[in-house]
Amino acid sequence: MARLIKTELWKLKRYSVIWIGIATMLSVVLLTCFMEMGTPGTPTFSSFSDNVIWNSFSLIFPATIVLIAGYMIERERTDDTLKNIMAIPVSFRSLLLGKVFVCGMISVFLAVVELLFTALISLFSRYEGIALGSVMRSLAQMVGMNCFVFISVLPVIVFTGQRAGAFMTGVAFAFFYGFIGTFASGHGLSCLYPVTIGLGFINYQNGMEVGTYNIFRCVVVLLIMLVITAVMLLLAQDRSKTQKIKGKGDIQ
Amino acid sequence: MLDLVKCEFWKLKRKKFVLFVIFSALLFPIPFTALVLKGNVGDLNAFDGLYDLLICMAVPVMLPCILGIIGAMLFYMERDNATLKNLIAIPVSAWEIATAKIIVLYFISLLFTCVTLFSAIIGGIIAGSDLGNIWNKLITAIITAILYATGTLPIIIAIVKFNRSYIFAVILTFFYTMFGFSLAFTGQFTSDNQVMKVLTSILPTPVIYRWQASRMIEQGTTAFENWQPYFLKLGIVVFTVFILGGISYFAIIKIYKKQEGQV
Repeated sequence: MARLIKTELWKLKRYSVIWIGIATMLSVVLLTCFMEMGTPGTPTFSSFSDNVIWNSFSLIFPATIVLIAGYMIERERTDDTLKNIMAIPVSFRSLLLGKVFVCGMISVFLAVVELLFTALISLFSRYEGIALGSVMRSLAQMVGMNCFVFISVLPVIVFTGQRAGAFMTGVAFAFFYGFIGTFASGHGLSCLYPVTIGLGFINYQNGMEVGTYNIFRCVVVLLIMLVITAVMLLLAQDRSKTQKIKGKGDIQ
Repeated sequence: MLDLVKCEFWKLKRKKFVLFVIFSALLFPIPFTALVLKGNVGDLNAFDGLYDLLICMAVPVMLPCILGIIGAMLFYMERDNATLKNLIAIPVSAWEIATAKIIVLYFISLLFTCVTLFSAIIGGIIAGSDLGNIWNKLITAIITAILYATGTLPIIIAIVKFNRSYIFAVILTFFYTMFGFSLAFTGQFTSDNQVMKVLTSILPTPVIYRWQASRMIEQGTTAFENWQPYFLKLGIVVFTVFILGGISYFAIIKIYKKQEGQV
């Protein structure tokens, strides 16, 4: 598995998709900054960071991570390298697991990038309250939130990854799935809706408001998502349509 | 032109796009019907409430994304399969090809809003409410489809101009949608900031929302009085969106013609 992860990281170096991830993080921070311009009063670093977290999980991060994961899996098909990997032999399940693990690492990396942009924009816009303590707190919250959102979209990644050309549908669904989080949170379902359970774990307070979370429910939902993903990974196989040639076996 | 539009549909048939559009259009009605069944639309009739929620909240978020993805599919198809030179040899001019692709986007937009209306009808039946005037809602759905399809043309310029990967097109479309959504739904058009005032008066999503909100909020209520200064009449919305759409259309044709010259 360590080798698979290492090779996935090597492959990532060739793809420009990681830059797309960085660009989306920059765009969500800029968008939040833009929204602050139209809101009365000057935000503090903490409230700005909270708004970045909110916009990230509800508007862009679920779709971005599904897009990156889908692209990494689909490249094996479009570059026709899947058959070579299977001939080594590396099972499709192991390959998928390796890619999922690397996507988890990308989620953490993108959270660090997100914090970097948040801190830079805060310094540039002269928001108050930038201190080491608040920056570290925001970093922990962003890393935590990205990881929990990633876990919530894992079933989408595993499901669409098994089917050729299905990842765009997965991206559209992830966009919807993340966006509905705003409604779930607004109706007291933060601890039951998979995308928003992270809010409970990071104790998201949205600036001045005080929210309470049922951590037990969050843990249960998290475990359910992990079990669903584990079962899907166990049953995973390349479900691309096969072209049958008489007497020569199946060609993927 | 009709033949060209038909050809574009045949080409898209291979990509199972109709199912993709219907699937996307049916995503939001499920949670929104649950909200309506929980009684979260106040005094509104369940069907009216669900329809307004879908047209004002789901369509602005989902439709531009879908149009952007399908726009990228349509415009990158000839490049990916190296078929542009064959079309030019028929001969079909670049503006005809580009126009046919844009017309397909309008049809898709119409399909999306009609499926949305259909899902609202199903939701209304489940909630057991009176369906009332469906024709009025169908007209609103058609107007909304035309406005959003026209409003998505500026992003098609970027998709055609940069002529990069599908990933790039998707991210660009998502950002455009997010930007429009943030301006419209976080009430930025009520801001005193001059930049916000200009942007929320020219960009398609906030402009369309300012017309739709005037339909959605019940007249005579405090909310209606508070929001009245920000409402826009349909004529102004159509004028603004079509000016932007018209400029975008000519820009798309010009860029596509330039790319034709490079084949």
